[in-house]
Amino acid sequence: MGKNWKFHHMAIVVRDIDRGVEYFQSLGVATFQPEFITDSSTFTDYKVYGKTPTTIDKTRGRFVQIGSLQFELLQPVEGGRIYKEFLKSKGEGVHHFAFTVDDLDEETAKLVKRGIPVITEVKFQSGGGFAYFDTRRIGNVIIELYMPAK
Amino acid sequence: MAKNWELHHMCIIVKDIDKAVKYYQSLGIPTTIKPEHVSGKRIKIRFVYVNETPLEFVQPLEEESTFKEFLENKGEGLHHLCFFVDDIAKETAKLTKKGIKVLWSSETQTGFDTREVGNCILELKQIE
Repeated sequence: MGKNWKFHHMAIVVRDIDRGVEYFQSLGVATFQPEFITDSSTFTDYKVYGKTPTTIDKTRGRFVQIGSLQFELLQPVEGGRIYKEFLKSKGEGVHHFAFTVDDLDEETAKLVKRGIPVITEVKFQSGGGFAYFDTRRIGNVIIELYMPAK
Repeated sequence: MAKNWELHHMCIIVKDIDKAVKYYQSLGIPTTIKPEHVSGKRIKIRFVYVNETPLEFVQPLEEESTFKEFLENKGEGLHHLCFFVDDIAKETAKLTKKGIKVLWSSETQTGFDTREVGNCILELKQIE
């Protein structure tokens, strides 16, 4: 079945990623990838609730592995309305579950057809992309579909 | 046979487990639904696999529980992540030495208060 709908990571939005990393380090059970920055000015296509934002969003991120589970710590540093709204309403916590898919457009179309709202859509220069779907109605968890660059 | 620190499940607290299962089925994504377990008047549990990823939906019932408290205080959401471990006594000793508090424990399962960052409880489960 390839990598379609394979679990990729669980994202936690934090106010301070350095503190988050330090805390996970202190538990002595995690390993860390280098930090990355996502910068919306590098996206080839970007929509939030169906509209292209006029301002830039920058997010610091870091993958943290605990056993077989990969976490993604995210800290909005510029713009980042979606994450900031989350922090404001719920504080730090699990923001989304991400699954890899073979064809993002195809899976997006399927979910949209079933009435699931799309929160964020991103296409990378590399050809991959991701989308957040508003599946918060039950369990308060957003589903992300992520298509790595081929 | 599970490996040390292999994910066992992600627990999501919901108000109505039937609605939760129906909702996940309605998404048209690859799901496998397991039978329901009822633990007295405390909780109802149902595992929903999204492809191979186990989500444990828990609906608190009348009896008081940490799950019920969570639902009342915070609403629906992710409650804990459970990992298999080879030696629960050893892992528990390591974590408590680092100052992590135990929230609940039985012979085979222990929940740790790791909510300080990201609001997420870790649960460890002894590999049988």
